[in-house]
Parts: sequence; structure tokens; C-alpha cells
Amino acid sequence: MRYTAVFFLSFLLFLSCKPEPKKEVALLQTMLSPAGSSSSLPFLFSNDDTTLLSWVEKVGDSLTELKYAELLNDKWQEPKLIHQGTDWFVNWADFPAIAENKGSLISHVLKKSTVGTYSYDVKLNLLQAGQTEWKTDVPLHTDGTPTEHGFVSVLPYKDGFFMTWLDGRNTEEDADGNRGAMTLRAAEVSVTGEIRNEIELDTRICDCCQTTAAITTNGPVVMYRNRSEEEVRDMSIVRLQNGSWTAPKMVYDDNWKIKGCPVNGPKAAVLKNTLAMAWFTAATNKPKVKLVFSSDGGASFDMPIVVSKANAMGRVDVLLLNEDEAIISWMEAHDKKAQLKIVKVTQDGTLGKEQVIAELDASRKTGFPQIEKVGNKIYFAWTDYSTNESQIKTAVISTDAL
Amino acid sequence: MKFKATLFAICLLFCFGCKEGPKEAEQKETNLVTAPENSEVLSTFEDLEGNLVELSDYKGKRVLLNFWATWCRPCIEEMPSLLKAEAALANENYVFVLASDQSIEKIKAFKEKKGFDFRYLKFNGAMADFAINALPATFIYNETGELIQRIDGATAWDSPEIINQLKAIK
Repeated sequence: MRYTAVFFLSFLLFLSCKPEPKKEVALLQTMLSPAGSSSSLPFLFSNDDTTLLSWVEKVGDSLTELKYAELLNDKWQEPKLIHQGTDWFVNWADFPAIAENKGSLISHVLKKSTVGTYSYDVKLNLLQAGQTEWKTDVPLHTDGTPTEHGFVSVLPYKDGFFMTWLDGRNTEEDADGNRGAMTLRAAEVSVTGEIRNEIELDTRICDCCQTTAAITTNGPVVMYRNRSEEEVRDMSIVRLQNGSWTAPKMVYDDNWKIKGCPVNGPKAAVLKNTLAMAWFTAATNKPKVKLVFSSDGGASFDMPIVVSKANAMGRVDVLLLNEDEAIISWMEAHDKKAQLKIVKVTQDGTLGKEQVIAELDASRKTGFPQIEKVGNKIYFAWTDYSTNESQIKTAVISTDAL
Repeated sequence: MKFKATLFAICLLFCFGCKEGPKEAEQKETNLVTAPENSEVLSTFEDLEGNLVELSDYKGKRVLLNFWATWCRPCIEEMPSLLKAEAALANENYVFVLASDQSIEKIKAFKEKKGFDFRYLKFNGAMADFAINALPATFIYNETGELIQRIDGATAWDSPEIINQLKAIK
């Protein structure tokens, strides 16, 4: 009897101590940020060879510095100064970008073209492979109008770079008070700053949203928020096919009719001809973050997958793990704050488990968080404003954890 | 005695042996949240002199609260019609308030340059507090502070239809 009781208790002990179901663990690791105080506007770039982070830092009341750092062995290296200026247009949504091709670098800033607040040009900074001095303030466009130019996307292309941007050359007010629409333009830029094949891609697009671009097997594609005569602002795509750009084509008919500024552009990722695009829409005042796949380089698209519809704020980024799986990041309002979230999305519409990467200030100060894939890791960069001072933070997570 | 000691040891193990070890960083929950109710009532504004302003300060008046920004072209394009509407509703117990989350200096500079003579406020919250997805966005409150209408995007505020709508706000 006694031994029966001992046996029974021991058995109970064994049962109660068996391992609990394994809890999922987010293996997010914060990294030592290379950015200093008063830093903001992070931009992450990665290709097979190089991973870069660029950002700006305010120095005193008027000086702004554009810096970058390279990721080596999972660590951000010492920051390097690209350029500085007191006449830049520094804006939470229209941030400098950086890209690398065969050892050469390109970045850009927005430089005011007049004393007016909203007249500025895109100026390029170039660092040729093997050189140490940046060539700065190289013009991307030469229209000379005192209008807005910005929302640049830049990618390595051929031996140089492909660039696309919003160009306000037609928005200058005429004598009768009329003004034209914001246009979309693109060009190729050599590593020395020579502009080739500049072209207007769309004559009327949304004034205030970022562009995104990708180099598919078939050629470059540009995606952006269009603007119809009826003020419908949905996503469109143009593609370079056999040497000619296609006419703008709607990616999906959200039918978001808004005579206003969403300031919430799309983001694209590509793997050969598999293209994924993430975007924000608030048609019928129901904000959503969506993701869509294309398997033919953007000639056609699957049906969109709704990723977030509860307090979605947008500010998306996306990357492809493979031809069937994407990782999307976005911001979501949460109790007077915002959360930076990510989730894995499969082409068939399956959503993985959402992960909260960071709690952020919900205001515009936190800008547009960035994600990039390097090997089997995903790197994050975002602007933290929790201490009332702007500071870029970085973190990394293994793709296995998603 | 030996049996009791064994039994006691097993009980001790049972009680303490299975307590949780140090917690690993658990995956954060991703609870979906609903928009805070009446968040607009709690939001804080400042006038251009830095005085704190709450929407409740305007209780007893009908309020047209317009969110805008200096970089927002549609916002600026609708301002002349907003001024006309404000004049047309001068005897309708309305207060027109233009709120921007930009700095007071930028708002002042805009006011000086453009000359639109509005009651400007700096908004200290986030656009998400009002579920604003694009600027301009306009919220119209009745005299008891109840949100009656919301208009997203620029509008011809001086059109007879809109003026009549605003007059009909109860």
C-alpha cells in the first residue's frame, strides 16, 4: 500500500514535470546602432555583396549630415559622412536612399532650389569603387523649375543605377493660377553621375507618396500611388519591356477616392520574376495593409492578401524569402502608440504569426521603418522617439523564427 | 519513518521541482486593438502662443476642426473656401480650428506667408488618434461636443450644399 502511494505520487510528479508545449520565442536581437543622437530617416539597402544603412543627423539648428554605415559580420561599422548641408529639405517621409553596385555607391539628398519651403531638387552623391571622396550635388534632373522633386527609389542596374522619382516640373503655377500634376520620371545613372534614358513614366500621380522599384528578369518596374482625374489613388505599375515603358496599369482596384495626401507609398521586393508589393489603402475609410504577388515580373498580379485591417497605419516594407514567401512589415496604431509588426505571407494567402518588433511613437516623427534580408537574417532599422529625442535603432531576427 | 520521509521528499519535489525556470523572451502578443473611444476629446492642442487648448474648451459652440499640413497641397487649396465658409457661418455659432502637427514656428511662418487668417492650433498627438489616413481631414462637432460629421480630403467648403450641411449640424 505504501509503495503504491509512493508510486502514484512519483507518477504524478513525472506527469506534471513533463515539458510544456514549447513556447514560440521571438529571437529579436537589438544591435548597436551606428547612428548618433538626433538621427532619423533610416534607409536600408542590401544586395548580394553589401548591406548599408543611411540616415541623417541634425547638428545644431540648421546643419544636417547624411551618413552611412556598412554591415560586416553582423555588426554595423563606424559611420561615415557622405555630405552635409544647411539648405536641405529634410522630411519625415521623403528620405535619402543609398545603393551599391560593384563597389560604387550612390545616395541622394533633397536640396532647396529657392528660399521657398517646397521647391527642392534631387541631388546625387556618388562614390566610385576604389575612391574615397564623394562627388556631391550632382543633378538628377535639369528642368530648373522651383518645384518639388523627391520620393526617390534607387537600385543597382547594369553597371550603374536605376532611379525613379516624383517630379513637380508641371506644378508651377501659371499666370492664371493653374498648375499641372505631379509626374513620375525615371533615368539610368552611371557611377560617375551621367544621366541616361531619362523619361516621363506617368503624367499625373499622387503628390506625396513614395515610389518603389524593382529589377525583374524582364527589366525594371516602378510602382506608385496613381491619381485619376476623379482623385482615385490606387497602386499602379509601369514596366520596361523590350526597350519601351508600358503604359501605367492598375495593380488592384481598391478605389480609394481621396482628394488628399496619404503620404503612404508602396514597397516592392523581387526575386527574378517573382514580384511582391505591399501597400496601404483606406478605401471607404477602412485602412488596410495589403500584399500582392506576381510571378511574371508585374505583367499580371494575383489577388491581394489583406495583412492588416485593424488600425493599420501602413508605412510598409517587404522582402521575399523565396518565390512563395514574403515578409511584410507595417505600423499599426495601438493605444495612442504604434507597433512595428512583421508577418510571413505565403503566396496562397496563408499568414504566419504576427510579431511585434517595436513599440513606436505613432506620430510622423518615427517615419518609415526599414527591413532587409541578409542571408537567413532580417535586419530592421527604425526611428525611436520614446525619449523625445530622435534616435535610429536597429535589430535583427533569424528567418527561422518567423 | 523512512516512508514518511520519502513521501515528504516527493511532495516537496512536487511543489517546487516543477516551478517555472527563468522566462525566455516570450513572443509578444499581437492583440488586435480597437480605436480609443472619444480619443479626440482627450487630445491636446496648443495655440500659437503655446497655451494648451482642448476641444472641450469650445463646448457650447459648433466646431469645425480641420487637420492640415504646410506640405499638403490639397489642404492649402481648400483654405480659401474654408475662409469663405467661416464668413458665411459667422452668425451660426461656429468656430473654425485648423490643426497641424508641425511646429508652431512652421505654422506661424505659413500664416504670415499665405495670409489665411484662421485660428491655428498645433496638434500634439498622432494622426492615428483620430484615425486620419490622409490630409486634409475635417471633423465637425455639435454644440455639445459630439462628433457629427467627418470629411476626408479637400472639399469646396463654400459650396451651397456644404454650407447648408454645416448649418444643419445639431
